[in-house]
Amino acid sequence: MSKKMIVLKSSEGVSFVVEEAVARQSKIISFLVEEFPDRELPLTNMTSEILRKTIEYCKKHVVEDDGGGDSSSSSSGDLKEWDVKFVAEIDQPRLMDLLMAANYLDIPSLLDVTCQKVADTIAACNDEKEIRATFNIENDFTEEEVEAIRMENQYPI
Amino acid sequence: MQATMGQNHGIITGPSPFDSLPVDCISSIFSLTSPRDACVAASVSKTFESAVKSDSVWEKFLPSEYASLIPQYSRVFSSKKELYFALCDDPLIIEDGKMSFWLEKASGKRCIMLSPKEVTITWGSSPEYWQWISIPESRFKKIAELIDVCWFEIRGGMHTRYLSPGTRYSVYIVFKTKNGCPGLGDSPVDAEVGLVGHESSQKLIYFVGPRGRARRRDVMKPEAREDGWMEAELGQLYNDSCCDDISLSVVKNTPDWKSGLIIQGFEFRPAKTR
Repeated sequence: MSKKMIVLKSSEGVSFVVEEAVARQSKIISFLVEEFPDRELPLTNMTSEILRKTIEYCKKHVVEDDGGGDSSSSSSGDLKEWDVKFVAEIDQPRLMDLLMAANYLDIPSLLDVTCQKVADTIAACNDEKEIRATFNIENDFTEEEVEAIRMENQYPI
Repeated sequence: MQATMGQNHGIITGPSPFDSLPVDCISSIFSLTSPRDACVAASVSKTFESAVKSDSVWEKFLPSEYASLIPQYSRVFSSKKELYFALCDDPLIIEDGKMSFWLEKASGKRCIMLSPKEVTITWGSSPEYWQWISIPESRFKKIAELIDVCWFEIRGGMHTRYLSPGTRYSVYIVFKTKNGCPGLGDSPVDAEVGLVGHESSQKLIYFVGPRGRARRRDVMKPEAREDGWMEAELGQLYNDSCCDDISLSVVKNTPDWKSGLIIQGFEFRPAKTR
């Protein structure tokens, strides 16, 4: 039983050979392999590290077509638990990279779990200063602008 | 997406990862937080501020039936966020005047005040004992004024579908007293709240409360509200999945004659977390 494989290439030029079914969870890749079959796909803005993580996620989430598949026939409850653990183990900068990868490759379920983790991180911050420090964001407001925004948003509510 | 991923780790002055995300993606992150968190995030940066403004964020915080509520306001809303704040600040009358509805600002959770017309007041239809009055500071057209009774008993209930699921609620009686509420104000009153078919919480409340040593510590004191009314907590309940009936009661049937209590309604709002 041979499975169709495709090659994904990271920004460092490292090739990853992946089952097409796994890679097709990305709507972009799904579209590209139909348009350009048998080609390797260069993903010039994804590091090997993030591409490896993305593939790990897709492998876990691939739905086996032939029913009695040998891998990843997890129940949805198990899968949710796995997702939570998967994002919990990633540090802040890499989580953002993974979120961007999910957005770029259009993998909706990976985008959902990474967005949820970022949302939880924002919710855990006490104020805007802590959010800036956590995500390395520069304050591009003047004092007056901050005051105006606080008024408009009835801060603190 | 032009930015290179994974290149700025550990560099404090580097661009924020959010700069390379489309605004609608940032908005969908905020829609997974709470209204309070989104408002805090708005003052982080310009990118955040414009993402927080998005209707897609506030649509998530609005109650599902919001479209049917808009006609009750005599103004036009330029954004979903503006509508959200209106639903927090200006309660609406729903269900043919049976209840008043609004949202708790920080969480977007549903709050309800049940009209006294919707509960059973013993002797409530006898004008020599209870009267139904209209006053401008009330949300409801008719509210209950206690004229004179010995048997003070109120029982009522509501369905939990009007409340937010997965939420612990506090239930309050909202009232004013006249002349110190003779015969009732300084005595402990039995209060009970619970879900039908489950164990209910029982406690004692004061409508006024005696001064000094006469005040019992095991009896809940009333508190002043910002709107000029008083409130006393009758108890709490946990609304798991919006498919229960709530029952509540406030009872004092000692032989004394009781008077001087005006009841605006019974309020359900999320319990304060420690």
